Amino acid sequence: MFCTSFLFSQNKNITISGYVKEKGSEELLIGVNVYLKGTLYGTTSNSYGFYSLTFPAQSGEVAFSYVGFTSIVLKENFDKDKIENTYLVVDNLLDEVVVTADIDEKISSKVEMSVLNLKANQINEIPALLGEKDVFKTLQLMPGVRSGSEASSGLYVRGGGPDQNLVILDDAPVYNAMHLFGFFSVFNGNAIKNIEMFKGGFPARFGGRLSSVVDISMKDGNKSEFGGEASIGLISSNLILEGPIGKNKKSSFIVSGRRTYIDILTAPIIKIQSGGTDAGYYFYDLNAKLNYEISNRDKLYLSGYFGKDRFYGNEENEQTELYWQNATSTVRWNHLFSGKLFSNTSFIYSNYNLNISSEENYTNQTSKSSYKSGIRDFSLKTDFTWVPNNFNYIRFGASITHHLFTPSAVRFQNSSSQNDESISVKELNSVETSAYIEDEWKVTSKIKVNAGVRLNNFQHESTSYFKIEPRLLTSFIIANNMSVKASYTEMNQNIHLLTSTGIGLPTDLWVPATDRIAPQFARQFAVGIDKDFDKPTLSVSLEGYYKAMNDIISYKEGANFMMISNPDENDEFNYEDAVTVGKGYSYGAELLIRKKVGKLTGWIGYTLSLTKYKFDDLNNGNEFFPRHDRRHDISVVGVYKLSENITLSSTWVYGTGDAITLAGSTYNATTNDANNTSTYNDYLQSISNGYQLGNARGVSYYNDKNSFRMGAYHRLDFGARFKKVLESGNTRTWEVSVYNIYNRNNPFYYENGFDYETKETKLYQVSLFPIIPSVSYTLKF
Amino acid sequence: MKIFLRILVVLLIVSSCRKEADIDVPNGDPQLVVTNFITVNTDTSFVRVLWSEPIYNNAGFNQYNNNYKHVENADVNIINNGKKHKLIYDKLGVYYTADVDFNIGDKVELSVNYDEKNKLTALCKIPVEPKYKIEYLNTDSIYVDEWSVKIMEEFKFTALNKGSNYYALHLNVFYESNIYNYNDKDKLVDGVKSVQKSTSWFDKSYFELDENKSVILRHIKYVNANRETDLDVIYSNKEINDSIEFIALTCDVDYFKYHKSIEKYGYGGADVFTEPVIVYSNVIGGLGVFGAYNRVTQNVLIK
Repeated sequence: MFCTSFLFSQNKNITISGYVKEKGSEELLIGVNVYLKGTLYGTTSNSYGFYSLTFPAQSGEVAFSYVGFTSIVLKENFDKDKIENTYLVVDNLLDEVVVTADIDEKISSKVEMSVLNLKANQINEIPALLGEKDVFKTLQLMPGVRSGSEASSGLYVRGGGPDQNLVILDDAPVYNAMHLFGFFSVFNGNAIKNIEMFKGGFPARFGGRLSSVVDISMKDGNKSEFGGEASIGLISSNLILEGPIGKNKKSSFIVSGRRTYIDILTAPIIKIQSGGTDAGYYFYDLNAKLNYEISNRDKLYLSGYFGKDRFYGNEENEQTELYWQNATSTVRWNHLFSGKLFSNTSFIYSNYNLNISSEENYTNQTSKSSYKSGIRDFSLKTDFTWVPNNFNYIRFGASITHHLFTPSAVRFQNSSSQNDESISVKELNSVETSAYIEDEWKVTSKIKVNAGVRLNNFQHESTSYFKIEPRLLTSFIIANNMSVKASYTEMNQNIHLLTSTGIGLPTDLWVPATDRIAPQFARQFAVGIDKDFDKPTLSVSLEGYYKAMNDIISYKEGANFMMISNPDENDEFNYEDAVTVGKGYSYGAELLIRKKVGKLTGWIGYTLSLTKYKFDDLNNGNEFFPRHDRRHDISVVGVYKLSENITLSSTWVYGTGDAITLAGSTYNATTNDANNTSTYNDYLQSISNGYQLGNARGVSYYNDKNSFRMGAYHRLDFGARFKKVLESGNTRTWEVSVYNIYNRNNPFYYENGFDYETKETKLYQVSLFPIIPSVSYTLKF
Repeated sequence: MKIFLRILVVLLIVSSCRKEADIDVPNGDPQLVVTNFITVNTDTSFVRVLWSEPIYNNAGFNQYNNNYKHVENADVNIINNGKKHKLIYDKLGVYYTADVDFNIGDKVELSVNYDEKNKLTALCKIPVEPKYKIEYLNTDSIYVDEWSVKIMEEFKFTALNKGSNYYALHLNVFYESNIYNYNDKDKLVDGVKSVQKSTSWFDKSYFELDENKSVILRHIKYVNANRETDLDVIYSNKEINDSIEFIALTCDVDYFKYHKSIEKYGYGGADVFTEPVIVYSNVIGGLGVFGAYNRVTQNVLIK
């Protein structure tokens, strides 16, 4: 073993740095590999497109490579520091021989593990339900990640719940990232540039959730020319506009909007089915981003997202409305102190709220009721990237967030009685502060370590929790293109999600840790082996993990959202009485075989896992499988570029059925007749009238909670994209996709029904989506 | 929310399909189900033994009719202080009974043998007599809707038994009732007045409490108040309870967990938002419960 620092420490070091951009649009590129050819000096551009590479002064070749772009090589005498932007050109070549997988592009050479990277074009190429491209549904095709139910966008990562994922859009957390009860995620695939998901091995710069971090970056907007994209699908339409502001290429914007027209399509059916009700549902979202290059060293970004789902219904005397909406905005300032020190400072606002209201009008009176809940954050964070030499890549930073929780507020008004009963829930204020430092250290040419620590403090009223979270990742190259990796991380989560169903309903409530309910905690070990193959260009990753979770919460048996929010039952909102605190563990193995370049790209993922939870107040204190426990999970994704203009794609997924509670038998459960002093003589006297001691009722015998398995889930989807450059220079794309091509009836839920012919109770399966073809048209101008 | 559920149902109907599930249903083989609550307050033990019934493929059975089959030929015994008491199946065909004296602190075993495959056992312990303090606090009225008003009587219960104990708290209410008559002009007039007693419940009945710890008990009643929330009017209509018979039980952990799970059972699984409640059982080899309690009563004046 030899030390690289010894090898290269004889000459004076120089640093080249700058931003890597796409030529033409000047879109910043994330994750570009930058390295000095023939040496082990290399780095990658960060999430703002910035890179910094330090090496001994010499004549040499510095290469920039990025999948989907033509690599470029700077050949010169590197004898002094230089800050310069580099531009890469999109590569449309399909021959995988042309695309060289360079050393830093290989997963075996990276210290990170349990990380998934997706680019916008990968999401757009995969067939989707009703043609709606969806970030989360694409992530669900990766090993270790699964959905909550049929077509749900909720993420369950390595045994964790849907609340344990930190979803951030341009630094802003998004709390309910679902449209239409989870069938679609709130992220408009057309406005997204890059997605990075961490399932484990969390670097210290991320914190606040137990199971995953989904870091989503929006496009910046074309700085060279005005353009856009319009698309029409079966249930929604999209429009994107982008372009420069001014002529000096210092500023640009991008705006994208999407709206569904489910309400218009289903209105006649609903009217017939419901006897004349004017009712409907739609959602829309709007992304906008503005950036301004103040100087070579300073950039300013302003980005925002707004999305809303709305149900409405109008009957003769009753109007009702349900809506939930997310709004985020981020102001970011990038500053380059030097070629080695980069900083980003962000001011972040995030707001999620749910509103249910109804109004009843009768002859002499009007009564109104409304229910509100939500969470609002203001955050200030600053992050530094310091690259002192080629061997250390140091990140450090701090943040402070103010959370305002309004878990539920109910109000009733009645015009005739002048009655105005409000359940004025006290707003819950919490402050979360954190600081971190991490160093990605090339110890030797074969060993890399990312070591870090994150300090976190959470203050809620007079209760405070201070936590220290160690993070450690290591990789060791054991052979050519092959490395073994290991990681250990501890994570804390100071906010909880009260969820009844796990399918991402807007009624799920975010609540803070309190003196009675501690923050959630997880520690995760992972080991893995990565291997890259050159011909064909494949990467193979096999990981095993064990995750232990403490202080996770669940509703007690029989409790639900309506119960804790019902003013009739409670004087004030008190969720702590309705939940039980428990623990859980998950372990498993994940295999990912991925092909990123060539005519045929895609991946095969397989997960073997087991998850169990234990709560004192559930299942009589015994361990049980959570609903999302899935023993086997397989996904196969293939994208084939038949020609420059035709792309075919297909996905096939298979998963063990969900664990549910289902009764096989029923019995008589009698309670004690404590109100009466019945004696045997009383009983004898009344027996002729069917009298018995106590109250009897039939109850179901469930064995253990979630001890029954639903039928397996599997489905095949197919998609084809036909692209054509029109005479006007615009590009149009027709996309045809078929969801569930062999029309598998996957179980969505089970219910009992009585068969009047056989006079027997039978178990019926309800399936949601049969084969669904869809078509969409996109015009890029 | 009704309207949204309606829309969802319509959307589901449009897009979903329902068919008989082609998977193995959970095992529903009949098991012995036993129910017995023992106490120092009465000499006779009543043990009920029934069969559970499969839900699926069980023609003619309807659980809502409560027509579970009785187990008639079982060997049922209670063993207390080393003495075995054989219980006799009564001629009316509902209970196995025997006179058994129990004392505080007794550890009692119940065994039921039907055949080699179907036999069960369970244990319980007679708890101490409840010691407590009960105080009437107040009565409040809350408007509910145009037809009714919620009357809420509040009591404070303080546990005085040493250590931590399980309590089951119940009540019967006494109230003065008018039997209304119509006079010759068809006008409603007061008739005969009498004191009625009826079984009722607190909003929560089961508690685990340390010595000197208190809980607030709420007795909730809905009355037709013609939109009036004025207590005086409601009092004049004689709809406020005069007094209650407060019933306090100390109970063993099995009695407590079983009744608490039955109490929650009514809420569970009723909709997709709520997880089903698994009814507690301390019976080995079967289902049901074998629990013990100790009961005292006290009248508490309200008006």
